[in-house]
Amino acid sequence: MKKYVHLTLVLFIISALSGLILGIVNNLTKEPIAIAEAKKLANGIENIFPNLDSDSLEEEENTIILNEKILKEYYIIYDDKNQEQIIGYVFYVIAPKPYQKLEFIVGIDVSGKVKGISYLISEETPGVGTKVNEISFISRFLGLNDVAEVDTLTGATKSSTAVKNGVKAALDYFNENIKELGDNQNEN
Amino acid sequence: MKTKQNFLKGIFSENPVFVLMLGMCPVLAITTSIMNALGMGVAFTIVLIMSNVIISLIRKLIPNEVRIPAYIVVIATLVTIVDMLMHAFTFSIYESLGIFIPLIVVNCVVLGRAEAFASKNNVFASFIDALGMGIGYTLAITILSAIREFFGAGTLLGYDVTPLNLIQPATIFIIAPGAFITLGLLLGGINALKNARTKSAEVKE
Repeated sequence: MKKYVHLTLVLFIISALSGLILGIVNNLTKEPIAIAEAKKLANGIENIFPNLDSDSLEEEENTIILNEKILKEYYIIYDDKNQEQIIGYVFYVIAPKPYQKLEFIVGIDVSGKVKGISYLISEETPGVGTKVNEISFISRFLGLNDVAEVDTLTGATKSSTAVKNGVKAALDYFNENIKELGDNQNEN
Repeated sequence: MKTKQNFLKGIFSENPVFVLMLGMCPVLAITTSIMNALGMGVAFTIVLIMSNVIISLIRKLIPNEVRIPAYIVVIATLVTIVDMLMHAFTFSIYESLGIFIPLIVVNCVVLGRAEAFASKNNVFASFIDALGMGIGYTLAITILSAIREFFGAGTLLGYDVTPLNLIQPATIFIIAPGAFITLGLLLGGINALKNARTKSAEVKE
């Protein structure tokens, strides 16, 4: 009996100490991790809309959380000179893919055309799936309001199809929910 | 002399990848580029050194019956710490290594060294053992990833080294079968060298 108490006690002490140390490290790294993640997103958005009002990104009301299967959330982007003017929307897309993680943002301007794509998380196979990062592929989407005609990539069919479907989902959402809203406001 | 041998065995005679063949899952999976291999090697070496030192320190306090769970708790804690620190301060490497940092926990080299060496030796010897093993592991995956990156993507450390397109990148080196083929050829080469050495030693005798 005494032996089992001893065994349990040793494991308990080791686990408790580990937990304590983990808590301390977590407290120390929580903030740098949040900053690094936010910075990555902000950099991506700035790549798509170079003349955005970066302060407006930090305001919570400009982030609309969707939590749909493909679309996680979107951000309303304001112009940096005229800060009332909306210049576009950026959708956070989680590509539906069974085997690897692929998350990116799609910028759509007020007229409903694709303004740019920027990758946030891509665990693609280098040399295969990473082909979707190439500018020649991204540029196929630019200025389009319908992606049905965009060709996917040979050798990276799944990855490029995932990107295409993600962009399509963002465009569909924009056309169904946001575009009309903007039109109504103009009429008023 | 003993310390030197202890250090060198991890690199040559008991190299965790080429000789002991432990922890092969990350070896095959992350060696697609040199940068990945170096990042993984450094993270792995840090975890291994810390786990060997800590386990050697507490080796007399841990009852034999619960030593494996105790080691695993210690190793898991260390890996989580390294994971959080890399996420916070070396963001781009963290991104490219992805799932493989948490997976260091189940890398059998770490548990293997804890069980086979640190639990029986003093702190200094365990530290040297971990350092040698870590460097041996890093060296092995760097060699493997250099071959795969060169033939598979035509680059080294991300720089294009085939400006004239003399070698057309062969995608198979980057994907999983390429990992097995490259590793198999490397192991074959190393064993052939070893056999040749033993033979020439025999002839001398």
